[in-house]
Amino acid sequence: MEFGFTVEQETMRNLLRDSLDEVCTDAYLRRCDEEHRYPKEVFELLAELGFYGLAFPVLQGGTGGSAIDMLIVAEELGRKSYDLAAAYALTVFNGLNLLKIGTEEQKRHYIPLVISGQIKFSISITEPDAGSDVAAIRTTARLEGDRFVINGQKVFSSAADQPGNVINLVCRTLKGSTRHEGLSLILVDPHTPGVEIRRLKTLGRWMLGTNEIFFTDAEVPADRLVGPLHQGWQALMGCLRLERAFAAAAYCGNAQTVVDEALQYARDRQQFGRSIGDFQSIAHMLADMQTEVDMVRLLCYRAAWMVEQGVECTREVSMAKLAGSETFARVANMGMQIMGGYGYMMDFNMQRYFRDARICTVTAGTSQIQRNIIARTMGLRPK
Amino acid sequence: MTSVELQIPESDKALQEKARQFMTRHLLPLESQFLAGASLPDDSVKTLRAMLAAAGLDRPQIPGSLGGRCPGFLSQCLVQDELSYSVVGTELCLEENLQLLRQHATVAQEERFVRPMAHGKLHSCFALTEPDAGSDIQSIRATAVHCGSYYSLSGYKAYVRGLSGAGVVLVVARTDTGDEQGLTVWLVDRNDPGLRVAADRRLLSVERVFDLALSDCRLPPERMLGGPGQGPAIVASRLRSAEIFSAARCNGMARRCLDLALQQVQRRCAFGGPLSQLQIVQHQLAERATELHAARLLVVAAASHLDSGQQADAQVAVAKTHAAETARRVADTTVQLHGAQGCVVGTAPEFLYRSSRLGLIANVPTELHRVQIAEAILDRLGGSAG
Ligand SMILES: Cc1cc2nc3c(=O)[nH]c(=O)nc-3n(C[C@H](O)[C@H](O)[C@H](O)COP(=O)(O)OP(=O)(O)OC[C@H]3O[C@@H](n4cnc5c(N)ncnc54)[C@H](O)[C@@H]3O)c2cc1C
Ligand SMILES: Cc1cc2nc3c(=O)[nH]c(=O)nc-3n(C[C@H](O)[C@H](O)[C@H](O)COP(=O)(O)OP(=O)(O)OC[C@H]3O[C@@H](n4cnc5c(N)ncnc54)[C@H](O)[C@@H]3O)c2cc1C
Repeated sequence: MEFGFTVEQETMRNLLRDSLDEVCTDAYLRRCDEEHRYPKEVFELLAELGFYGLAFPVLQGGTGGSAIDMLIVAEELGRKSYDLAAAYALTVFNGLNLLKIGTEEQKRHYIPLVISGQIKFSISITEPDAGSDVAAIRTTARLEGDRFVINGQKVFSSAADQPGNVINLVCRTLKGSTRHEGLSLILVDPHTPGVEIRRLKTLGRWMLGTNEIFFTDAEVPADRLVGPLHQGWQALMGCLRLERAFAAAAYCGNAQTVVDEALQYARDRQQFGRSIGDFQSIAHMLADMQTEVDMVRLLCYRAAWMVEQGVECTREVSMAKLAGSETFARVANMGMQIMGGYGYMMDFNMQRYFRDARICTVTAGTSQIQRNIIARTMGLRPK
Repeated sequence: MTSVELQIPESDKALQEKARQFMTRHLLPLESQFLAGASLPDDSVKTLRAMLAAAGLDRPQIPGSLGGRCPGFLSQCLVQDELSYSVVGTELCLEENLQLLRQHATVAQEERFVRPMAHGKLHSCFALTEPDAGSDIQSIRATAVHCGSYYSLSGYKAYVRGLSGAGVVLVVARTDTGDEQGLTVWLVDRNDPGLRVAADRRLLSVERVFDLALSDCRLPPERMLGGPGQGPAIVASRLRSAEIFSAARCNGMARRCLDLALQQVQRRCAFGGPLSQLQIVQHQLAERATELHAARLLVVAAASHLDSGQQADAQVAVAKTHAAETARRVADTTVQLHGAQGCVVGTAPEFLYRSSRLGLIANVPTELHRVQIAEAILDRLGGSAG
């Protein structure tokens, strides 16, 4: 058993942490959050430091980093805000997927742009009547000669309207089919006529923003199909494990910040003649919070290690995602409690963590869906 | 099941029914406007308060001598629970200081403050918290210095709720002269020179709270509520009423959340059937319904105890912690069952998720209530919470 990181990994972590500390100050993040402003300076920094290329092979212009390297990035971005990690993940994982199943032409065109930070990717799966149940997707793409004609509605497409974005659209190409077969993955330029994007107002995750997208006879060249026709869903599953482990590590990073800030507050705040952290109920809350975050961190790196080894790890990845999101939400709730009335004020960070954390048990596969997955690996058939 | 019948006197049942009708008729229709704008215009709030008063629903605890019911903790809790079923109702603060004033006011103070309050002509708010004095009221630094014929009040108060529309502010300050050591409570007119709004705090919920600064605000001794040194007892009694009403508000919110969840799981289909068919969904709802039922019974028990004039601090603490935690948990489950839709601003689950967090902090945070409960039960055993 080896729990340490390599010297290179420590160096990378420190470089990223220090650089983020410079750009992502508290004031910067608060402003981006309050103004619903895209934190483009952070993404420019990541591109400049080469982080968009981390997971790509050297041959493609990347640096060939490992799954563990990726989780280090997730944790560090998450420490600032889960939303930053989510943005990075959208671009990188859709990019990796394209690398895996895209045509040579697509790879030649898109991968360098991803690595240099010139384009970003978003993904549109969810629809009003298709959330956890992806097979219920109804948005259609009809192949007419050399183009797809797209009609339908997507909802909760994060960052779809941000600068330089290309939408990865999952839609139905096989008429009459109602299952996972018959779904295809198509790249859509958000500025295509017939595509209308409307921002949704949500409880949290204000920097990236999430959107409804309406498609009305939107025409897209046929060569934007990624992977085999009608097999888009299976294709998408390719990078899912690392993507979920990445999300879990980002929750872990953000949860650690909650613990750090709550701890600092508990040390500083004096009531009844002592620091509130010296009351057992607060001290134990903090002890539980740190224990849970450490448990999540271990689950995450185990999952990443297994991904790296190439062994079956559906269960371990889902465990990390389940525990990570639930823990993030739980510690944010406790962090708010520890800060009393100040935790509830918009001028402190804690309310942002509390808002951002809430949706993590829903996105990227809800906690209930993760439990179903874990139970299935245990030989059960939960219905 | 969510509208489970409580064992309460017939007269209170009638009041409860009236409150329910008021809520259905006047509050529910305002909800979409309220949720879209995240607040109601001051005018609508005023109108609603007047309508509540006219319907005899505001401050049912008015003393008999002033033409109301007395003392009425249970009645007011039932009304609060019904009104808070609507998200609009959660924002309509009922008057929470009447009991307190009725108990401690002099005849002159009763004429000047209590009577107009009883008739809905005057509203009050309470300024206790300071930046460095939250749960720990003994660290309050605002002072009331005796200067011959008057007292001079100075200090800084934080998080004052219900200030808009309030004509009188109850300010807790420290009196440090001679044998008048300790905390005292003052009836400060909103227009008294020396009192000003220092900051408008933005919160996670739509609630508006303000900071108040007092600088050499001069008051005659007749504005002191209760005698010198009675501050702690008055504060305790104020927190007691605020907390039992807050528990009732939590219950109303939780009932609404549960109903929203029930509608959602019957409407939303995934994997070939409504969510309501899934066992995990059924069991989550069953747990929340159980917790909620218990919370309502606890509030009725504690409020009845208060009405009978008994010492009921521990009962109030038990009711409030359980109700606040239940409201938060039910809201959490409701959001989870709504999936992404539960996080969209302008929907009731999203609103209730934010506002239900408050019950665990405001007035008396949960941890402090636990201290009270522990002291009470250890006391009974002859021990000490230490
Ligand atoms: C901020 C935000 C960003 C998002 N970003 C994106 C994005 O970029 N792209 C995208 O495509 N989507 C995105 N989503 C959508 C997200 O992926 C979905 O919310 C998620 O898939 C769940 O779907 P749903 O919300 O429709 O919930 P539903 O599937 O309707 O689920 C409702 C409830 O039922 C439960 N449930 C469902 N099925 C079962 C079952 N079989 N057993 C037990 N319980 C069950 C769920 O766990 C949940 O509690 C985003 C959502 C949000 C809020
Ligand atoms: C929306 C809102 C409205 C409000 N309205 C009013 C109002 O109208 N008037 C008014 O005067 N105030 C009001 N307040 C203030 C409120 O009453 C205080 O927030 C509350 O008293 C807690 O104080 P604090 O926030 O300073 O937290 P602190 O007292 O600093 O507590 C911080 C944390 O430490 C814990 N803690 C403290 N002491 C102990 C202990 N001995 N043992 C264990 N844990 C402990 C607490 O439980 C909490 O978790 C309002 C607050 C809010 C958020």
